[in-house]
Amino acid sequence: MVQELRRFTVPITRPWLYRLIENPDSLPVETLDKLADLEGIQSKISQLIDENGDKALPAGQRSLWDRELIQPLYEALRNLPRKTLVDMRFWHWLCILPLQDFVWYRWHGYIPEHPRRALSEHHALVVRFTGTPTLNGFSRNALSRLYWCASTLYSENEGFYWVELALQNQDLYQAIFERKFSLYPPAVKACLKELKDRTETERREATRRLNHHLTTIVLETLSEDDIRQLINL
Amino acid sequence: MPVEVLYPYRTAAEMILLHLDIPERESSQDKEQILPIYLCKSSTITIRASAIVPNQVWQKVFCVSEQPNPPATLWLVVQSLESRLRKAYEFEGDQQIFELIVDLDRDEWAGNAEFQAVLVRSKLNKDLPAGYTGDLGARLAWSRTLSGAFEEPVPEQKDIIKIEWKKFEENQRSQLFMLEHSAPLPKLWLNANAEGLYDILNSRATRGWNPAIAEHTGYLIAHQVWTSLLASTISHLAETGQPDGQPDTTELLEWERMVLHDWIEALFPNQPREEAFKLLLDSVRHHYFRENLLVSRIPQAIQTRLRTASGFQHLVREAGK
Repeated sequence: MVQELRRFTVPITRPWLYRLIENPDSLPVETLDKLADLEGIQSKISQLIDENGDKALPAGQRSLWDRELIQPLYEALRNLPRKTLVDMRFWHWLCILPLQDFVWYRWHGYIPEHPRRALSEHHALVVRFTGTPTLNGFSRNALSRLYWCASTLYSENEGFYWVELALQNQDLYQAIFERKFSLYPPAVKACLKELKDRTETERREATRRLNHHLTTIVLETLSEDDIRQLINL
Repeated sequence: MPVEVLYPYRTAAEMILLHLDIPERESSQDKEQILPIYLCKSSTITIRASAIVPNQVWQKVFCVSEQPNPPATLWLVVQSLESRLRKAYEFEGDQQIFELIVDLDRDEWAGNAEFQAVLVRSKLNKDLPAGYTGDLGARLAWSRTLSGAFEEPVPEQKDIIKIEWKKFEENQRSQLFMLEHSAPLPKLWLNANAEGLYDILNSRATRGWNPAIAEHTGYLIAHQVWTSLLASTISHLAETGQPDGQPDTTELLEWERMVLHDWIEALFPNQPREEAFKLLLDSVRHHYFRENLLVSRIPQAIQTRLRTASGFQHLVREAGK
């Protein structure tokens, strides 16, 4: 069932996140005049929670939830205008209101009895619900990181193969998506293809070098194969 | 320091001339201005780009052997962090004068974008003399970066609060005012159902009881509003920053930062602003802000700034007449 999409009127910061988690009416939302079917996403989240049962989700299993959610999330939102998808207020609304449970399970393992206490004890959790409109902000918000990974790497031919590979390793994901070259999809794919079997040190060094190349090379004029050669230099 | 010294090979920085215009609006890029792309109403925005690459550029960045047939392409590079996009569009031209028509989908772009004409090496060559680059994709020459705005700039927020009148519901009829903690601005609602309130607060009389009552009522409302906004802002400030670190005003909403900037000197009188802010952040960080700020400083600051005492004396004078 399609529902009206909304966003907060201002980007949400920590003090307001505390209040919104306790009282969703603390700040007003505005309609985007856009519709999407979030039911598929919500069903998948409910299914994952049911399968998990009453226990906390172990840390080692949480990244699997990214792979489970990526397809319904991307399919529900892919037809929205880019202007909506680059607006962090929209992602804040999704993470804090309709899809909050996912964020808690994925990044905390369970829904805490005292959410405010959990957020103030685990500061890194805050950016999973919020985040600034920067490369770093998009790659840390629990849902925007999934969407933009899919938007960059999904193809009709290969489906979600490269998307799931990128999400498997948080360090690799951040090394790629928190750098400017990640805004050029062939560069991201080139990185994944070349670096997927390398050590963490090698990956970090290669992405750092590629970012440095941006000062003298116009990446947008190169093909994926050209960039793979550049990574191997 | 000239940009060229940062490159390990010969380049021609900002020697390409780039001009942009929007045929639909007859707007073109002026020297320092941002191209107002948002003025286009159609869903597809057409931008016309023209570029001139002077002969000196080719002579500077290519060695003699490559100059007759230089392996290079001129591109219009468009980048926007706000839109999460980096794209390049190929110019057509005759080695001196280049033109390009670009159609951009309005829904794809947000905020601002940067446009630059860049001459890019199109073939690898490892056998060039020192001082020349043979790397595929290397930046050889470029224009100044021009900016385009896909969205109308938001005017700087000047007000901290919005004031409006409305008829209060039955259960609030006895209230004179209501404060809403909303975003982007808090709102002060005045009760249009409160008998006499609208007439008195909007009265232009300068003598008699009406102006005295208006002044006193204004003080009453202002005291409460500022107490609430300051206390709320300071409480929120206490929830920002890293554990055991300084509070972080960037984690506040825009209006909350404006409240602090507006009241900082009144909260810490006789201090330079920078020092006053340090005192505020220390007070919040060390948790003694409740007594120090909320109980003592806020009432003092409000009374000093609103001159509450002189308002009281005015009432006394009116009563004595």
